[in-house]
Amino acid sequence: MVDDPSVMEYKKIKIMISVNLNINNKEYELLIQQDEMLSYTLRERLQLKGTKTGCDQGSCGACTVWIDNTPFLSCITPTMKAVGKKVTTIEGITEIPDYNHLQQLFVKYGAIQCGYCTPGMVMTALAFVKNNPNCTIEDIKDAISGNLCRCTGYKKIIDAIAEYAGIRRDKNSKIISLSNSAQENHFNEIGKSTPYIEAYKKATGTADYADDYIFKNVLHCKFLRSPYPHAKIISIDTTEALSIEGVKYIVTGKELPCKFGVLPISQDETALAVDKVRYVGEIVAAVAAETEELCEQAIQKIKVEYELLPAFLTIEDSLKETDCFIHDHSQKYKCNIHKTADIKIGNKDDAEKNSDVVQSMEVDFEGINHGFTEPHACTAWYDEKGINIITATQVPHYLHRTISKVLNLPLHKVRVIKPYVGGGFGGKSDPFPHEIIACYLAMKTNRPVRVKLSREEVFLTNHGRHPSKIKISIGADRSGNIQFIDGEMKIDGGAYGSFGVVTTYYNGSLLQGPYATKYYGYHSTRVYTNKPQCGAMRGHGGVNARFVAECVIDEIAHQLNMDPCELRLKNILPSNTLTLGQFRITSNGLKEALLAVMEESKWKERYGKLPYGHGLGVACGWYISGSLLPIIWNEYPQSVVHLKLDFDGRILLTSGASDIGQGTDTVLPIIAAEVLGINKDYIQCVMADTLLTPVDLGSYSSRVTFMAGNATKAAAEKLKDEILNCISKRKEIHKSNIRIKNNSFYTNNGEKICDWQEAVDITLSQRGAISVSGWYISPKLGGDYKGAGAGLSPSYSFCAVIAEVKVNPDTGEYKVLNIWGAHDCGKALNPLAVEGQLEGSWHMGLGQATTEQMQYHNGHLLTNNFLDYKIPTSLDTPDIHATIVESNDPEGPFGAKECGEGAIHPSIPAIANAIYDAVGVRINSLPITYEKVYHAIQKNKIKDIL
Amino acid sequence: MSVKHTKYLIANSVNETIELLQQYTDAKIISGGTDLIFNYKQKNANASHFIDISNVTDLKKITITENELIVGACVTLEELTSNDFIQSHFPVISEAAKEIATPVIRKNATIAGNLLCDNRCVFYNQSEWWKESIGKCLKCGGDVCIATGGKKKCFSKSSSDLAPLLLVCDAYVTVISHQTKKSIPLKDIYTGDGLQPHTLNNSDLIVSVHIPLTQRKYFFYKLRARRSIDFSSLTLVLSFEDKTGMLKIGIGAVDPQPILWTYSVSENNFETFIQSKIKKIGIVDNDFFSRDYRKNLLQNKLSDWYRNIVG
Repeated sequence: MVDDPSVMEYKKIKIMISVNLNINNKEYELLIQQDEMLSYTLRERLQLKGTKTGCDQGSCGACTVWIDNTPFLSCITPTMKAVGKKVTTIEGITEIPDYNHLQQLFVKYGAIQCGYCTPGMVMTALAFVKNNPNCTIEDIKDAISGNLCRCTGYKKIIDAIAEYAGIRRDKNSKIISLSNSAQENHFNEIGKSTPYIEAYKKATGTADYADDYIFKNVLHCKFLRSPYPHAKIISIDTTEALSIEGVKYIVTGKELPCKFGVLPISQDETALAVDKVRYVGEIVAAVAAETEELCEQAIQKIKVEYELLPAFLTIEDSLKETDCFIHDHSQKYKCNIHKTADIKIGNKDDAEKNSDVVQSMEVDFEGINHGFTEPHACTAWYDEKGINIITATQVPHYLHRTISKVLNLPLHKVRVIKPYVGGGFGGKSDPFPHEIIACYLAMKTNRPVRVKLSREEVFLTNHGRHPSKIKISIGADRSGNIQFIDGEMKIDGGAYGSFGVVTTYYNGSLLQGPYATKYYGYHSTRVYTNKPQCGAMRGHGGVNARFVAECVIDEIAHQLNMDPCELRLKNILPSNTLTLGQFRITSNGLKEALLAVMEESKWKERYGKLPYGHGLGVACGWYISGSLLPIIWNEYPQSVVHLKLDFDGRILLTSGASDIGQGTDTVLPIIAAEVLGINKDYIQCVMADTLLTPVDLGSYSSRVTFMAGNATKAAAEKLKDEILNCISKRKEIHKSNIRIKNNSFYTNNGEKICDWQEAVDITLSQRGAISVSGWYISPKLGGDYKGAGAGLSPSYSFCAVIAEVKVNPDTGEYKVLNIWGAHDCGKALNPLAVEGQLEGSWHMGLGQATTEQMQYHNGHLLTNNFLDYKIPTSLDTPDIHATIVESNDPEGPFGAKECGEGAIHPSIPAIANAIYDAVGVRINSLPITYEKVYHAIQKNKIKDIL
Repeated sequence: MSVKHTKYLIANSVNETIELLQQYTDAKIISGGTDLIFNYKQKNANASHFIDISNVTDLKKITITENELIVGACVTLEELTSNDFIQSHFPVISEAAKEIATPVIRKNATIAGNLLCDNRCVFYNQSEWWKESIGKCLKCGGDVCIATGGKKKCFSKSSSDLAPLLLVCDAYVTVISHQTKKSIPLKDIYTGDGLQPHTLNNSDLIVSVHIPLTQRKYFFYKLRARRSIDFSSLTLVLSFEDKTGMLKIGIGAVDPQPILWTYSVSENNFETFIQSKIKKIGIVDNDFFSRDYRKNLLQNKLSDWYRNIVG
């Protein structure tokens, strides 16, 4: 029978249909739109928020559910398709023990970082294994190849599925400790692989991300965006749009003219375009209305008159002399330069004289985007506490300050709450226009206002890695000792400042390591262009320059007929030294890292001996472990952690530190538990809510484990001291004679004094519930030259990567077969999380090396979705072999340094160098497409003939 | 004011589908919907009604007769990869199907849906806002082709991988049009016009795809940036019949229609033949890979295969 349902009118706008749906074995009778998608029905009508949407066009797999036990992409499946059938979502499978087992394996294996792709991944994997119980690892890689994960590099996901399918897989990651200290063996919590405390919630779809919160009486908000790259706004007429019933407010730029920007030195952005638009996609007006559809209708009715201005779309455009400026403050340059940096340290003449070989290379880099799977989303509301916003952010603190500034509210009337965040990688670290607008509209309408960006809008919001042109020259003597490193960088910042001033410096300042040199210098220029702005992305500022430097070093080794690993080993900076620019290096395990990957990859046996088309490549890198200086200069600590102990024996840890999938909420309790000698289960966190938690500057510059970790350690030590004082007093045992271990207190002789709960009673009976505060302030370091602070950190991580590729010389097609990486993270407080960060970094490096690019046509972004912006799938990702090197940093908490960003640096040039080893071509632009390899091989052939 | 929502009808038999198609002349057939809904969301596929035929069991059968393999229109790509007969007699079909989209999409996407995929172009497969911002291209109602910088012809690429393969296999489709059943050679359902790539009308229903059983050697190659998800940048098929010395070459993703060339090894001028043919392809820069690279690969692969055959 043809469905001929009773059609009803709803508010004269929607023609809906009544359907019966069976979802997770529960019958629903629902009114739906006939063309609505199942993801919408599940999330919006039934509030089954476990199903996520990442792309809304069937390209990422996050929304996978089952209809009659077959997986479907619910974002491109009309709900009508499910009528009369059985729909199963992540909520449904959780209740079935056999299926739930896979969710538990995802937890156990650390297959979950941000967790946003997890429900879809679990649904796809389960359906696959159920139907293919005798599958292989290769089958699993294929099965999940439509489910994109940006965090894990798929390795741990495949491990979890493999165990579920009964496949044994040897663990191929390992730890090399450089310390002889016996202390290590006495750790209780440190160094144990620990799944994230919230992982099970993420696996089961119950972890709430920004768009999963349900608010009563919420208004929706959508944006009118500029169709032009550069144009004056002559007029905006919202009259007709406002006359639509259900449209509550329309804001335009003139209402919010206050400028902001994440850096105090480049406050050049407004929440909405004020007098002119500077890129295609800039917000011109925002509508708050009762439904999303009404928002869209209103946007169609807003009339904007523009007067076009010349568009500056490339670095070359913006370096040309002009009297048309994207920002007036560029006038002093007579072109559209934003910032220049110029640093020269050492005697270049001498260094050049001592160089027997000098190589240089200029490389063009396409811009790339973070590609986190969770699109930006937020809801703001206004109440007696002021403005509140729950938003997908990695830096609540700077957003807090920005909202206060732009909306002219006192700081104590702003509350920013970070929910679970579906990946950031730097892309959620600026304060964003949509966040400010949501707050403003909530104040104006006195209603909660909800914003969720489409994937296209996420790409237009960008703040990704700068398109760059970088030339680096390196000189070395005939023994391979590096004499000088000289760089010239031009970076394309897009329309606004963002972190760009820092990027301008980092491109050069991170060249002063990890190798010793007699001279290093750079001239770096950031231009404004009429494109979405660039900012910070994993490995911020150093990644592109590192690529060029490592390719040049490879070429020097080739020229000197030296093994490129040996050349690097020769030049690695020692521990406990200063770089030329006076960066203080404390611990340094790079030598051991490089030796480790050489051994793992059988470098000595294989390098230079593989047949044509098959190659190995190496590269090294380093990165800051937290920016030494805060973005907004002040004398506050960089991170504060509070611990509260009350009658229940539980310790509440509060911190502004932002877990965005990297494991902060797990590692801080590990640190506190280690200090206190108790199980980490006693420690529970409330994090990143600026009403409740003390200030932490946010998740950027790989600072959290180091800084918030040290603050946690300090707080725990204070709390321990308080408890010991009370026990000492009551039991009349000197403090120095009390130890805590395994939740109990002992004398040094091993006599038990009391257990944890008794200790809590003893303590609280003397002084009530305890709150203590611990904090971290970095030491005063660095040179006194201009720009000395850029790249300055209390400690540095180091990493070496060897990649193996196979190239088809006839087509240029290639496959990365293996990545061996070894990273010095000081001390792996949670090895499972460290491995995850490393594997994810190398996977992201693979993407930039091979397929990812932000391509524009006349200022319009072409690659604005997950089909055209090509994040590597599980089938594109090689086997990844991680080695953790522990150099035990003297200032890191229990010796720890960063591991989330440094690892990406060497992965990209290692792949390029492997291609060179395989087929003898150096590709001087990223991404290294098959096409570029093909043309370079053809060119070489012609050269050979001539 | 009101928003136009496409209504959704579910057909349970071929006859019911035909009735609905006659009743609703602006309707579109949906089965897997993996291509249609993608395009619908980009406002590239409007319809008053969707007629869902994925429950019609008659359209989901694979039948083998003495002379041909008959694949129902709603047979999924996954079934093409896993069907025993196809795996043993037409491994190239399994191979090609396995390289389409993703495993999850292949569970729902169908053979007829793949043959009727809309043409693609980076300037066309964009959001409505994007297309309005840049000024609409020919294929969405504008005046000129953006990919070519202003030509008056649409160069959107045929995006079906099965089309060039099944052309090479001499496939034909059975179509019911206004109660009449007819057989149409596969090549005749393609117009070569990027704007309206298919000859079939809204009222036409493909019910089955017929593939003659022949003894040939097949070569298949697909270029795409990633090993999953991505549409093809170049799909190339070659079949060789020993008995007759006939070569058939099918090419997808380079022209507004899937291309079929035939060649007899007795002509003995393969390189010249290829070069003259390549010149006529409507290939433009609207893909991740450039026009030149795709042309180079096309030529190199065919030459390699040819050498492989004739020695």
